[in-house]
Amino acid sequence: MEAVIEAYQLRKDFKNKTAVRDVSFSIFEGEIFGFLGHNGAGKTTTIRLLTGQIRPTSGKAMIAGFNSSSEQGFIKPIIGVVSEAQNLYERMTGLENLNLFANLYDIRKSRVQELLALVNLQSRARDKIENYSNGMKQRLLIARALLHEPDVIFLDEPTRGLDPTSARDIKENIKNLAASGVTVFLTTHNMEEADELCDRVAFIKEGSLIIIDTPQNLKLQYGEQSVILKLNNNESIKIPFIDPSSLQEAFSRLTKNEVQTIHSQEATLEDVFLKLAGQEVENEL
Amino acid sequence: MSFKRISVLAWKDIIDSIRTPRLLVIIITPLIIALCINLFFGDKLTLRIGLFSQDDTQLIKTLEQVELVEVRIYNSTETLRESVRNGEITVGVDLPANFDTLLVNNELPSVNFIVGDNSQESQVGVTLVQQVIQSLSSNPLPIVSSTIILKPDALPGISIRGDLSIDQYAIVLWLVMGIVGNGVMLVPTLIVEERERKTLDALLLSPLTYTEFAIGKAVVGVVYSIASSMLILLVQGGLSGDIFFIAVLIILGSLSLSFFGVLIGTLVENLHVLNSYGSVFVFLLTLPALIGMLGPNPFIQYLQILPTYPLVDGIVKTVSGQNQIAIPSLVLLCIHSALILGGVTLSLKRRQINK
Repeated sequence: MEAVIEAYQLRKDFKNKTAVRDVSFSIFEGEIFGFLGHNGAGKTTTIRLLTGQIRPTSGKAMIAGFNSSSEQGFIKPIIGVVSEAQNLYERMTGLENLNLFANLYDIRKSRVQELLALVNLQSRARDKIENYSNGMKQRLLIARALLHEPDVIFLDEPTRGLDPTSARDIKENIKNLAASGVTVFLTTHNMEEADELCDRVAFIKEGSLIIIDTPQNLKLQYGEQSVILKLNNNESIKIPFIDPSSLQEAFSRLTKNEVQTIHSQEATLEDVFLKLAGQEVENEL
Repeated sequence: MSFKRISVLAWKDIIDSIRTPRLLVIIITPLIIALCINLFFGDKLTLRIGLFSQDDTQLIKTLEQVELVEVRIYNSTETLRESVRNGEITVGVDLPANFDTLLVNNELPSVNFIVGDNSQESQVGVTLVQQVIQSLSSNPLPIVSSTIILKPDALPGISIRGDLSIDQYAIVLWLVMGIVGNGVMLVPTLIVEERERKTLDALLLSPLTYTEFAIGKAVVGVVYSIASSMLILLVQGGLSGDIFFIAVLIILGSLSLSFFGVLIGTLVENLHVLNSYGSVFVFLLTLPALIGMLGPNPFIQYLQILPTYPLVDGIVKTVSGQNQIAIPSLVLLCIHSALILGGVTLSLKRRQINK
């Protein structure tokens, strides 16, 4: 499979701070790649570096083989960006917002209608943005980013501050995009969302990449392979999968009807992140 | 560079500016001021005429009956001259003794007209007094007149107003205010607003380049400057002189100041800073036109470095029918525009390096 997004020792220093420290990774066609970290970890700066909005202090970023800094003309037509800030023209209507960018991209007007339908905003297209909810704005931002049918889309915290229904709609849109072959680079600090959506995830902490892998592998690698049995007498017993005698005991208690509930001890992505971030902190110390 | 993209962005802002009360205020303020002045004071600009006569004369009463004329009486030729020199009166009339008797007897009394300069206003004043004297006599040439122009070097400083009357010059002032307001306030506001609301990021991720973005914003300033100039001229009943030459000056001035606005917009970080310093820029750039309103004064020479100086000077000279001597102002305006454009280009390059 061909790498669509590549970062080589990407670094960005600001006056008093290094936002991104020598980060390297490759993302493949049609993949949903989650870039996870706390606020201020360097997620947005990485997106700005990858999309050529800022120049790296060192290293380079490539999109579909083009250098993001020096070949912006080639990059722009193949990327779409939904930034964290809901940067829409508030005094204009949804339709006017999309038409403006359709004209800048020199795209046919029917595409605007297609996208309004895709994000389910047709009925509100002639309303001013200032009257939109956060969820509607986010959907319109996705529509704007997809106007020119990009091969790669960058989504910076797409569900932040949204109600569960709006967040679900956005996640559906992201899944559909990936299904249609679009490569998705997603930043979030919502681990549950990343687990649900991403093929692979990377953890970033204070500008440094901690690990890259599939959510499943990370959970297996860093979680405990065991269950906890809660007994009728309110006692709890931990049963590791790798210990045959424990498994026998569990079976025996189940048959004797002594077990009230069983709890899987599989780690969540958040557990893995906290574990890894903690290790990093220890190593630094 | 794509003209289509520039026009798409400019059109968005032209429409959006009208929807925004704050931007609308910037656009229409000079128009409102011009309209108000025209409405309340337009027909009340008076011609002040000073008279020195050793005895009573019916000329005083007759002049006082003329609309828009204010007559002041002086007790000596020296005080009359002093008042002309200070600009307190437009025309001084020095009458000989027994003026009325000499006039009635067709004895051709000698009348001295004293004016500060050769401006249109002064000429209108002299002609008016001559016509009034004419009405008092049956003789077609009732007096022997001489006009004393107090030499320009006798006046303090230089005058950018030239030969224009106050009301004619006021139109130039409104024009300059409109062009400065749109160029130096509207244009940077549009740029800084895009940056603050982060819509600039979205625009620059589209095929639009930063140069196209800057030109698009300047186009909005030029369009509104030209529109406001046309409206001011319409409200004020137009200007005399070569309209083509005036149009060239207005377009060039609009371009120059709109690019100046782009320069400010690329340097200023947020609207708060812009609002704090923007009005200082507007005041400074309007200063050549404002100070010119005061007539000759020594400060004008220090304002020649401002791009609005050749604009005011050029329009004044063109309106006075002196296209030939307005050409250096046009050239100077071109030089100012080129320098500002150079500044904008440097700023864009700096941005490219530092991003």
